[in-house]
Amino acid sequence: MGVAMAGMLVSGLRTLPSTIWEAVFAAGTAWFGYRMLQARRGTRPSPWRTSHPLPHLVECGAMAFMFLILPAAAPAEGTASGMSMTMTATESRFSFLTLPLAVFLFGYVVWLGDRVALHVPAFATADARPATGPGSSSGSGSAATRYYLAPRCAVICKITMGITMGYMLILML
Amino acid sequence: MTESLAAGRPAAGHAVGRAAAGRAAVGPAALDARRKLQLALGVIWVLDGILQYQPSMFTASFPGMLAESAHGNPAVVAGPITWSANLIGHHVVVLNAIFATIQLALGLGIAWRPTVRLALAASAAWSLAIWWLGEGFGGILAGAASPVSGAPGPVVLYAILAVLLWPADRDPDAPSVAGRFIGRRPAQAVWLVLWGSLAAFALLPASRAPGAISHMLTDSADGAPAWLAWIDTHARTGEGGLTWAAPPGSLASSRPRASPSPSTAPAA
Repeated sequence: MGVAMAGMLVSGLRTLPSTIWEAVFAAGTAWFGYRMLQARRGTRPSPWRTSHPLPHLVECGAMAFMFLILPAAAPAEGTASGMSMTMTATESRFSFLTLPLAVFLFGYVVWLGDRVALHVPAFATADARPATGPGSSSGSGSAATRYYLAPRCAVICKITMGITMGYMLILML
Repeated sequence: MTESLAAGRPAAGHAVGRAAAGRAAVGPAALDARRKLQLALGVIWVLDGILQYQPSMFTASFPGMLAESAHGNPAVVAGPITWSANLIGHHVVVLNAIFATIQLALGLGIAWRPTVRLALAASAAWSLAIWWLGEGFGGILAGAASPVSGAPGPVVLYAILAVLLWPADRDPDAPSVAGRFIGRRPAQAVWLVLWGSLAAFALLPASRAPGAISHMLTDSADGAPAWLAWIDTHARTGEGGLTWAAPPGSLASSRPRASPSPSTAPAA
């Protein structure tokens, strides 16, 4: 998603054609929509799947929306501009969607910021048993122990992506 | 998955607190009504910051918009507004980037619990500064205050919310979130002053003059997105059918009177 966003903003960072990205994010939207339905039915997600698919659904949908709506303007020679973030009169009929999408993403960013713990250990247990000290090794004998690196970094990355995507949507107003 | 781990998925029996934070995953505290409203304020600040990052705000139109707020204000109020607009006009790129970053940081600071008090205090101070230097106190002292044009100034609401949502409980039994910090009576007074002022501004000549509101709606439609301009245009058209036939307070003055149309047969 970050790669696609970079390509939209700076043409020199464009990697794949727009049609491929549209297909990718349309598939992502469908997948996370399916995960949403599963969550509503009470299906317990596996530890490797997000328990909050709605933000990912909206993000994929927003990316697909931007790729579908915006024209892939050819960059002028010597410039580093990416896709034109302004819409034609026909495309502007859908600009009313950009503000609620942007507000949702900013709400997601704020929600993530609220849930970032001050002290996050370098690992977390996959079950309800209390976690041991941060210096314990992976061979502690606990089958449920998992090691994850830099979870706060992951949240900061998601916050950054959410802000950037919201900015791109605001540019479409 | 990453957000659940980074957030510290709450596990049964874990103590949530600083003492246990280093040894166990810290679960997110429950969101009470005040915290939800704080986060809503944070969203508004983030939105403000991102709007400030728009390319048009890095042009001369931004200081020009600020300078307009000085019109009609006393010299003691207008002088600093003009000075700040000139300063921003000379360094618009750098200063606008700083302003946008500050607003974004306020929103994120309110969201992150360790900095919520600092962010709310900074939010109140920054809001008051913008209310003066950016909005000219909403035109209150210029005699042009109108709820349609934004009086008493939207940013002053941010300062009010920052105070009312301060994370302290002087009156824990207050029936509303607003009264938990400053007390129920002062909170009621704040809302009374706010809504009373809106009502008073609606009765000022700036709002009651013929076509005043339609002109404001026309001005707000300029440069707005197409869907928002459509709303403003249709609101202006609807407002044009209402006129003050008598001084305010009279029932007859509030009855809508349709504009005559050549295609409409007169009522029998």
